Amino acid sequence: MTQIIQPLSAEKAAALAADLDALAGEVRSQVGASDAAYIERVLLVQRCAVISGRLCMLLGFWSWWGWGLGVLLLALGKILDNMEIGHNVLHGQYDWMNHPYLNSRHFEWDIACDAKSWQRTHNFEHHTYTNILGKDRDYGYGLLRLSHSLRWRINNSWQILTYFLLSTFFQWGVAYHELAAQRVFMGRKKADRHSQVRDEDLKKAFFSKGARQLLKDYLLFPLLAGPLFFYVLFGNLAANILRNWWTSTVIFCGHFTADAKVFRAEDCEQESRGQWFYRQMLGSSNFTGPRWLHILTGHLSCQIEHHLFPDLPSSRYLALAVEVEKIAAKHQIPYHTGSFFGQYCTVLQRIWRYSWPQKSSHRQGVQTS
Amino acid sequence: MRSYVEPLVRLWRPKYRAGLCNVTLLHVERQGRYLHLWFTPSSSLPPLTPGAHLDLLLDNNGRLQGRTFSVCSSLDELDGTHVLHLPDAVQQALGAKRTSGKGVVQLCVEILEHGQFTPLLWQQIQQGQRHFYLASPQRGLIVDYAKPMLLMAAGSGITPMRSILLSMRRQWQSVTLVYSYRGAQNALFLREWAQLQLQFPGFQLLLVDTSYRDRFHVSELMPLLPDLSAHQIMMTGAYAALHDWQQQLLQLGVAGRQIQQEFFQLPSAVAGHEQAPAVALVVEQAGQRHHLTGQGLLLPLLEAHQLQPRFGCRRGICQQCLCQKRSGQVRNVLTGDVSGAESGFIQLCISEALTDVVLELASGDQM
Repeated sequence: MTQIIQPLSAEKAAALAADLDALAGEVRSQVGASDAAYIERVLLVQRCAVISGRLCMLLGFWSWWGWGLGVLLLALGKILDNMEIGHNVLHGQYDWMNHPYLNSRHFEWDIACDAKSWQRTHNFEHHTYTNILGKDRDYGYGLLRLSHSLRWRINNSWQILTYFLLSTFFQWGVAYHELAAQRVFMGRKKADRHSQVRDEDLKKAFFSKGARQLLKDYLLFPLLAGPLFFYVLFGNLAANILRNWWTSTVIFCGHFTADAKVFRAEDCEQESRGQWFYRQMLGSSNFTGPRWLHILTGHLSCQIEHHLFPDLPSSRYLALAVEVEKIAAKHQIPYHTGSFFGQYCTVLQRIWRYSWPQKSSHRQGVQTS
Repeated sequence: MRSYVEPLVRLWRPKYRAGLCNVTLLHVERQGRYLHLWFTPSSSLPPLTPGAHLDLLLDNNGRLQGRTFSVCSSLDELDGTHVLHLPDAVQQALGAKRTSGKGVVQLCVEILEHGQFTPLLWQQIQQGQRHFYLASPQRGLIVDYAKPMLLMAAGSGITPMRSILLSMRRQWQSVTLVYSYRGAQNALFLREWAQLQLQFPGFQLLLVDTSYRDRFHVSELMPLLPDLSAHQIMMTGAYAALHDWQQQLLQLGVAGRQIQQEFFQLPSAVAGHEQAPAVALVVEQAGQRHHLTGQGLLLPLLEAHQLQPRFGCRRGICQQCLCQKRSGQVRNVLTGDVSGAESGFIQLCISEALTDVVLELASGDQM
């Protein structure tokens, strides 16, 4: 049963905000050369992975093992670019460095989605209205029903297939996300939805970025490979699909696990800073794993910490998680975490469960705190 | 492309940064509160014009921190063809490194007591740091040597005047320099001015030491320059001094289009301020400048003046209102951090101005 959560009382929220702000302040004062060195190291690994991956693919004429290694390396490069570098840089986590291109104003990533469009839908909508039904379009991406508070439609019956399809073409789903919300190509515009960007500009950014990605992966690099055109073309396709599956899986584990809560818009109006923190904690889920797994997820394995402190360098999240869990315990707030596999299983269960309409004996629960 | 390969290039050239020009500090001399710095730039520095300015950057605990300075060097010094105005130590150091025939970039930096950049720069130099970066060269004052010139400089505003005057190969018209400074120890480039007077007998120099007299008044120029109508007038220095001079010139009938000015604002000890003061804001966008005044958070302040910068969450999370601050100090109301006076990114929704601020809005933002 989905529990719709009501806000924390003002006093409790203020105490929570004080603890979390103190923690963030302490970490912020430590941010410096080691964080800069870390992101530059990741960037180096990403460049090496992409370049060596593209070269290894050419070994396909000699052995499929070489081609396979190339695909894996290219997928690794794309995953690092999208997750640990792109996602976090576009959040402004490294703006303090004043780096010429590792900053949220100028960074552009290796994905079909235009960085500015993503910043509007993700940084603004998703991070501001996290898990608020009807306001956070990332909650189910307008395709999946993940709560009984959402009306059941016949196409929800096969939403497990929709999910796998969405995962396969995830970069295009993300690219189209803002245009779908603004009803740019189809559907009637919503009266309560406003945009600071004209539809023409959205379309232009969508087509130009998408075309650039298509040309790069499916024309330019295959042509450069000459007679190995199709090895490279299919290698790039495979790397893109691997990246899509991985990013989709990680992101779904962040907010769609069994424990992640949802909220009503009317309960979140005039929300205080502490109440916003509370919602971020309840609406997000972490998962555990080895260090390399955290890096490959862009540290979105620490989704709770990411939602509490989206502007702190992601490499700080693992250490922060220990402290945040203590603060959660102190304030008697549930802290959702588990193994990667376990959390992913609950995501699949959730998608399956809400594929079907609510039985009349199970009414919507409202929990107060 | 350069940024793409940068991480790989840095494997064998650790100091390399795409888009920035590497410079090595050849020599430094301290004069009172000023530092004279001579750098040899890498070949990636584009050609500079007299009066140009650029950013000097240093690495401070992982952060690339910088401030804009005017270049003091003449064209001959920049291309390395004539370096006789340079101190012997610089010429010797330059001689040892002249294999590539490069010139020298001279900057003169005032160490500001409350500044965040210049005290740090001096500290790093004292610790032996010799590697810095230059970036964003901009054409500053536009000089026409065929027209009569009146140059007026206050304090460290004199730096581009050195570049302009030492780049003058022949004097065609009247050239007058008014240089206002406080105390003989802070008078810059006196040796160069004396050489210029020898080289160009028509060069008029007015040195104004405000430690024992009032600020220079433009009417004092009248005996020397009774008719300013044909002059190009260039003013550089702190905003307050330039504003006064400009008003005086306009009252004398000088046309506004004759006047070019480059001003800077000094940082002040603002960290202790409880409440943000009323400040002047200059908002630049797509070549247009908007002047406004007010206090408090910048986003509502701009909106109250009918400007419409992009915004999102309005609580410091989403970065939608991220904006380039060209100069001035702001406080982040969430963290309490006070920015430096130099260029950097700020979030409008959680920043309040503590001094006069110059902002650059993206051209896509509505106005």
